[in-house]
Amino acid sequence: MTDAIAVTGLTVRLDGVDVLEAIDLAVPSGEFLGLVGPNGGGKSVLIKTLLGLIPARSGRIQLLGGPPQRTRHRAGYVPQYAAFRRDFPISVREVVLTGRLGRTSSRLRYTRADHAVVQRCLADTEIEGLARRPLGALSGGELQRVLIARALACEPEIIFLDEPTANVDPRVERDLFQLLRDLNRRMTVVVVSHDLAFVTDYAQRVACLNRRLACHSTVPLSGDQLAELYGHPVRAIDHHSHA
Amino acid sequence: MNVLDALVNQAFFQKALLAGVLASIGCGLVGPYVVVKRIGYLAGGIAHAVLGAVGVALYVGVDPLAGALVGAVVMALIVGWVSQRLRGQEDMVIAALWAGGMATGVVLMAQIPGYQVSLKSYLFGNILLVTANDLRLMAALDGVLGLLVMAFYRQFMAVCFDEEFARLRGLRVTAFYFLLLCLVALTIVLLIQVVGLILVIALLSLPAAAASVWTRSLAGMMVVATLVGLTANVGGLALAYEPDLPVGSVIVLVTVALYAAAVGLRRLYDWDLAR
Repeated sequence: MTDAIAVTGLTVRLDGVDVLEAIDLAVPSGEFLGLVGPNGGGKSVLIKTLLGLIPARSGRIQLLGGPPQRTRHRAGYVPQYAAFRRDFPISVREVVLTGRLGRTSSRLRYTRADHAVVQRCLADTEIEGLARRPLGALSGGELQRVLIARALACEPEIIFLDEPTANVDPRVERDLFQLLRDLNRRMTVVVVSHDLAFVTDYAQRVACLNRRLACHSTVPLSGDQLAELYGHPVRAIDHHSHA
Repeated sequence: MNVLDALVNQAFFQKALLAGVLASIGCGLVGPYVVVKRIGYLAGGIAHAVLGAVGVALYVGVDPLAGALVGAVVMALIVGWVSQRLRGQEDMVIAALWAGGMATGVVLMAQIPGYQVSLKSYLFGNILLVTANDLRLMAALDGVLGLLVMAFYRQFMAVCFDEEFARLRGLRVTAFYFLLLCLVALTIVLLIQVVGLILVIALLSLPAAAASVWTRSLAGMMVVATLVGLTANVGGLALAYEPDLPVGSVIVLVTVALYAAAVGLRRLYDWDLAR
């Protein structure tokens, strides 16, 4: 089986600054990868580069066995800062339906099959009750679920989530990670998060990114390693001791 | 002669009314995109620069409306290109196109004897002088706009809502953006006859903006914006007729009043709910 992601020697330069340098990363299909690191460490840039939204300066990227531009329609993406205005006149169902673009069989309209997929995605993310709600009337946690549902409507083989828990309270955060764990049974999951404790709890492997990449299996992240990556001492909370 | 007599007996008044209806459809279909995509400034630039194309058309002796049509589409493509290339700093370039295009038109039209009157009607519109030919063109433009909006409703919505995600879904985002600006260009040509190019932006944005505070979907916004435009066009024509006021300007004043009323009533309604 080919890797979901295979990156070698990736360098990305933005505005004259190397934000990613000499990245090598292989993510086998079915893995749950956590991506952590300090702000400005390039986590979002890496995801966008993997999706072909930001051009690489050098290196080779294979997403689902091909160049991202050709394969990204088989990937789902949950962005960090929603790129849209909250007052856009659109309902939850309509947002999730846009995930069917590029998948739907009809040129002119969404088919019955598209609506069925969307209904299933709404159910998976437990927001069926919100389907008719305008986007502007949602809480942070609800919006996050809508964005995940939209990504799922693409019927992805891999899903990227950029800080999905940035604007939600801890209880919702736990629910979201539980949802990701469920999704991981059928697809590869890559999650960017600032929350080391949660990521180490749920991910099979954690990659630490600060312009360069270091990979670890989940548990043993020493204080020294963290300090090196973040550039200052970090107090790691061992989540397992009270789990 | 009062409005009702004119409606029954005067062919020019009937044509003006029909022009108003056709204009409402155009601004109802395209206005919502201008509002949700926040491209009012780009639309203003296209509208004003069209005068340059009209000037060129008159100068070389072709149909000015054809000149406006070609000029508007060319300007839409230029403005679109500028806004893509100079993201965040396109203001000055668009201002230059806006003013430069307009000045070109004024200079060229000054070379043609007897065209000063015509200049004024392009700037402020002259709905009472619409010809049967104009009406045919307006109807054709409405038809084109309607077809494109129906065919690409999902795509336009996805591109306006979240460009990045639309790109990931394999949509040709830039192509749709340019197509959208071309729709705006066609609508501008449609509206110039009614309110003139200086006031076009009012009909292109305010009915849709009024609709946006009372609707929850893009399609709903189109329907309500068309109705608001219709009220403004018919109401403005009726109000201006007897006192012999400039029709285009009265239509714009009614549009502004409807917009203010829509926003004001919304505030009142929300405040009442909150109590």
